[in-house]
This record gives sequence, structure tokens and C-alpha cells, in this order.
Amino acid sequence: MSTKFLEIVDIEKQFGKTKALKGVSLTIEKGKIIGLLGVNGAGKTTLSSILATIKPPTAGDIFFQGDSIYADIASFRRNIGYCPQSANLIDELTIEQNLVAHGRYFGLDKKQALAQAHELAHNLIFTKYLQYKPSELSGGYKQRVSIARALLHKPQLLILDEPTSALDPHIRKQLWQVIKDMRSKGVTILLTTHYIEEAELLSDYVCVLDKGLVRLVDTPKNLIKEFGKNKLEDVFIQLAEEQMEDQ
Amino acid sequence: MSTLVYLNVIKELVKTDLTIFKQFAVRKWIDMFIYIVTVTVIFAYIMPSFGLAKSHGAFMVATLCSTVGLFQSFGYMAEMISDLEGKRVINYHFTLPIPSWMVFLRLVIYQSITFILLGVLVLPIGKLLLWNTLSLSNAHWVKFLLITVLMNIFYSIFGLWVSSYIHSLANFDSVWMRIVYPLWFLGCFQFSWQALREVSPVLSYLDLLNPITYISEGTRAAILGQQGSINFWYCVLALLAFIVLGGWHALVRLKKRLDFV
Repeated sequence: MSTKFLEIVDIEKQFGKTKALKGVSLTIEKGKIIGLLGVNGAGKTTLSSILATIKPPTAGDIFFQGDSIYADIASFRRNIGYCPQSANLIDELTIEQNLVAHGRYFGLDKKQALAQAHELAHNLIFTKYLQYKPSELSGGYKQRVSIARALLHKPQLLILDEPTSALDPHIRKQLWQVIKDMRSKGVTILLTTHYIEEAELLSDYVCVLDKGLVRLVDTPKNLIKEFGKNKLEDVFIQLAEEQMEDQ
Repeated sequence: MSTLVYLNVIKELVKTDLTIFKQFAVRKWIDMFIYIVTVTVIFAYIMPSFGLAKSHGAFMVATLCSTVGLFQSFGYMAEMISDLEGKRVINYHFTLPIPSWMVFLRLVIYQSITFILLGVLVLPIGKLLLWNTLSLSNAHWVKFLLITVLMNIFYSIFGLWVSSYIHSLANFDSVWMRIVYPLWFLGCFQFSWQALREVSPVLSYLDLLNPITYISEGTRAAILGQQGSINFWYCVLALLAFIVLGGWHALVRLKKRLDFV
């Protein structure tokens, strides 16, 4: 039986005169991957950054295992890993130092943090760059390190904001395997992506955001069936076209 | 989560910051050396030929101790504004298991430590350059330690406060001309508050609104003795007030600017 893990209740976010989110409600079950889809400006990154506790909502609440995350934000942060769209690693530190420092912030001792860093570097294939500085790495490698950093403290909830956008196809597929492995270990994953194929392949559920509102939430299989299409991409294109007609 | 856990995260963050500082420490100490030698030589050996008292060299060395943090905070302001315009590493720090405001507490602790580490050069170099002219017989080292810690905490908070107002590196040059320079030059850097009061009582009372005044006066009182300076303990109280008010306002401004939880 699935557990009510994370509940997003009526989240609104206003930036000046623009309302980026207009009352988003969503329940995320433990151990599932939820793909967050939407055209540019739909509110995907805003929702991700609110869940990652970088931005506060203007209204609404988020409940993690029954408690508001805002009651004890630090405890919630201990349970999440966040990989932003563009890597924000610390340039003055080596990749290994970046990862070990992250582990230390989350209470790992140096040995544990180092072991975790090396394991993730092996899985994400950047071991040979551990002693490099971020500025010496390509965008794709930086992104891999950023993902490794988000995974290092073994979070219960992983928020990936377009994690594969800068990656080569073969690395993207390797990352898909990492994401699947994380799910098999019981990690819940919120995956924001532009790649519909990726969402279809990985997500247990897909949430389509449209102009700051949840347009629909369902399994990729049900959506394909409901819309009478062959793949999720066709469903998404139809939704995007409907949205353009509405405008 | 307990305060102890938060403190441990802060300790680790500061350790990381100091690891980064180590990479630049030698360069910064060389910068400091040049600054101290230049100011001391000019005021102790060149300006007296224009009629300035020879003892002014000692006065300036004591005052130099109070300006290191101000100039260094200028660099940290630029770093912060650059980060906000670019990579936003600060967003990463907002995902760490501490309340968001503690991200700034860690900055204040780290920056204060580096200001102190850079400032330790002033008195030894000043003493070497002036020798008998700089008497430290009236120095009160506990007071000096207290004012050093307070002034550097203040400078760090001041840097955060200014950063919250500057939205682009393109406007950053104005920080020097409009804020740092007037505060510094009017902040009893080259003259005592008493001397200013003799010249212009109105300006001297207005200058009591300038936190640098208390820093300069308090530092000189601690190093050269109380005579001729504003009472040391008044300086401490005023500085504490600026720290509390400035810290609160910086946090309000940063919250507005960065929109953090």
C-alpha cells in the first residue's frame, strides 16, 4: 500500500505582478517518480524551488509525512536532495572537496562522505575528475557532479530540475539507470524535464502544469490510453496545442 | 532539530570557507602589507614635513587596525553581488539543514575571522616601522580584542546590508564613492572626534551617527589609551547597537531581495 509522503496544498507564488503558481495541489507517494511537465513558464521550476525550500510560497502549505515543512524547515531539508537546472558548485573547491563538504553538512563523517563521493563518481562516471575544479569541467560533467551532490546524503526525496538537459544521450541513459536505482531503494523523486520520452520511461505519475495550475495527473500509460495516442509526447503536444488555442 | 546540530553545520560551512580563504591568504596578506606600509610611511615620515605632528604616525597605525575589515568587506560585497547575478551558490546553501537566516550567520562568522586574520599584521608592522614613536604601554589588550571582534562583526553585517541594496555589479563602483569612502573619511580616520568637535560641533555630532567613528575612536582608545578619544565603553555600546540594528535590517533587506524561506 502506498504511503502519503508529500502533500502540496494550494500553493501559490507571486513574483511582483506575475502569479507563477495559482493554487497547485498534488500528492506524491513514497518511492514513486513523478514527472513534472509543462511548457516554458508553466511553473515547473518555481514549484521545484519551493519544494527545495529555496523560495517560500505566497500561500498554501506543504506537508511532509503529515507535518508542515515550514514548522521545521531544517529537518525537512535533511530529507531532500536538490539538483538545480544549472550546476551551482563551489568553484574554489575540487569536485571531491565539493562532495565531501556536502556530506559533512549533512552529518556524515569525512570517511563516509569520501566513500559516498567515490561511489557516486563511479556510478556517474566522473571519477577521473574528482581532483578537478568545476571551472575545468564541461556543462555535462558539472551536472553529473551536481546530481551526485544531491544524492550524497541519501535523501528520501530527490528533486531534479531538468537534470539531463546538458547531458549527452549515453550519459542521460546512465542517469536514468541511477534514477531507477534510487527509486528501487525507496527514494521518492520529483523529476522536472523537457524530455517527454524521459518522463514516460521513468515516471510512475506525470503531472502536467499549465499556467501555474495542475492540468492533469496520471500514469503515463493511462494518459496515452485516455488521449488515444501511441506515446506520451503526442499527449503533451495535444495539450500544448489546446493551451495555445485557449490563448 | 537542535541548536547543536545547526552549530555543527555552521562549523562545517565556516571550515569550508576557510579552506577557500587559505588559497588567497598569502595574496591578501601581501595586499595588507602594502597598505599598512604605505599609510604608515606617509603619515609618519612624509606628512610631518608638511607640519603634521610626528606622533600622527602612531595615531594612524592605531586607526589602520580599524579599517582592515571595512576594505575587505568591500571584496565580499562584490563576491555576493556577483553570485546573486550569476551562479547563485547561495541557493545551494538555502537547501542545507539549517534555518535560512543561519546562512548569513555563517557568512558573518567566516568574514569576521578573515578580517581578524588579516588585521593581525597591522600592529607588528606598524611597530617595526615606527618603533619608539609607537608606544604600546597604554594598550589594553582585552579591550583591543573586544573592539576588534565587534568591529569585524559589524563590517561583515555592513557588507551584507550594502549587498542587499545593490542589484548589479555594474552599479558597484558607486558603493565605494557614495558609501564606503564618505563613511571612512568622515569616520575619524585621520582625526579624532574631539578635534572635529573643535572645528565643527555640528559635524561632530552628526558624525556620531557614523559607526566608523566609534570603531576608529574605540580602537585608538584600546591601543593608545583613553585620553583624546570617545570613551571606549560608549564606543562598544554604540557598536553593539549598530550590530543589532544593522543585522536585523540587513536580514529584512536580504529576505526581500532573495525571497528565501
